[in-house]
Amino acid sequence: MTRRTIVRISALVVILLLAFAMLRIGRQHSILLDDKTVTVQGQEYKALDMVEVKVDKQDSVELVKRDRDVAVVTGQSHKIKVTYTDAQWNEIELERKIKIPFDKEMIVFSVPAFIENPDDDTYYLMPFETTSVGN
Amino acid sequence: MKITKETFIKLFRNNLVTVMFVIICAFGIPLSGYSANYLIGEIIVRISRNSFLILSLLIPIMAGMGLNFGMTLGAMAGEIALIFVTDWSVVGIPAMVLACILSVPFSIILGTICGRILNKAKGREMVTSYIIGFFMNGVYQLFVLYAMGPIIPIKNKALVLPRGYGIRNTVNLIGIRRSLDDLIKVRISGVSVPVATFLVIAVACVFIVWFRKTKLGQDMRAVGQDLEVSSAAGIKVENTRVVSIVLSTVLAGFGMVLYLQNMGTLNTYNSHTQIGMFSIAAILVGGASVNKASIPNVFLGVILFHLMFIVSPMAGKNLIGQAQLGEYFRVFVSYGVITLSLVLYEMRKKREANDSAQLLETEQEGYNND
Repeated sequence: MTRRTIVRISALVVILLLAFAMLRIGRQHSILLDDKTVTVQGQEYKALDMVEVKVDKQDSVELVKRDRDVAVVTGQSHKIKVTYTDAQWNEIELERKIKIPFDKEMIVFSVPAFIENPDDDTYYLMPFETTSVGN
Repeated sequence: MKITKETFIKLFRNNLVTVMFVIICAFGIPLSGYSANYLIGEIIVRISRNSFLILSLLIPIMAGMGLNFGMTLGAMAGEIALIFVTDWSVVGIPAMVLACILSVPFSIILGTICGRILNKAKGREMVTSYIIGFFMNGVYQLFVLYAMGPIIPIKNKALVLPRGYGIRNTVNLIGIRRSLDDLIKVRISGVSVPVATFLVIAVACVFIVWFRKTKLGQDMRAVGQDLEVSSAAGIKVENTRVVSIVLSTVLAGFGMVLYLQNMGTLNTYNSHTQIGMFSIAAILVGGASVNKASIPNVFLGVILFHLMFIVSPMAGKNLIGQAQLGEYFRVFVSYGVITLSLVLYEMRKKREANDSAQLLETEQEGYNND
């Protein structure tokens, strides 16, 4: 293999890696911030009366019971901060890093499930599935 | 240097198109009534939007292939890349970089086809590349209208026609709109300057200057001057010509991505059709000719040509009460400039041939008298 061929192959690999990196860094996702009662793994999590959710450096969103809002983000890793008041009127702040799967364009973030299990994203991050209206 | 009457006439003759545009603009600006600030702002936007595309024309001119009307192929490659990037929901600067990378293989394939055809039509490159542009437009439409959807999966429903395949007439590029222009933005006395875009254009200029000094660049210049001599000197003439067209097409692809990020909307079936003609008209207005063009021609051309574009509708409206005249005027002027430049180029070629024949005759007469 000549030096020229090696340089050409290396350049091609670098360009492909750059393209892949751009695809990952620049991909946009929608996080549906959900304050609804949900049942996850047989456990029911009740919706909160009022909760404040902040995604990265975006403006915080206030959600009331059965409310849903959307945060449009770019990239896979994001910081979510949830602020709510418990039954004893203590203000509680929970902040975690979440990772959105690359292939998911839209994902549901269940706030009640997050509050109960903040360290296990299998509880509060779920794929968004549309249900078509049947005949 | 003393300016004699002959040198002044020669200078005027060689820059007739530019002089004509300076006169049009000098009349048009006061008639339009636009403020200096507005005009400067608009010109800055046009320079950032169009310069890269026009720069892509320099390399084929250097290789003696004339004005590359086939640059529309690069524009098509850029558009296809942007459709994919939009479908994959990639946004911002990464989307632009990705679109540029994705456009390269399309540009290389289209540029190689175009270059090989042009090698079969030596001496008639411009008209051939013009027709290739029309032909490839049909192929592009077939690809975008029928292959995107059933063969190439397009997930984004907003991109696909209601029938389920084919891309809609308009693609919203909101994800990349002005992402480069707004990356580094400086305001100078109320005029916004897209510094990052200008830096990218500067890199393209540096690349062209550097490229001229490389072995390949020198080969292209030699091929541009004389095909037979270059071939005798061992230069692979046909290969060099193909490379020049491929490079031009790749640069046009990047230019189209830059152009569309500024526009924010992709007109799927029309965006590329006028690009070649307007870019060529602009470089000719800047003082370039079929066989000679430089970087200053690009910028002077963008400024004068687009200044005419900006002022003509309003000047037309103020002059005869119809803005439509200005719209008509600018399309008519674009075609007119190209025609005039081609006629002037042929006239100059004939004049130079006559002059050299006369010189030879005089020398021969002197030799016979001795």
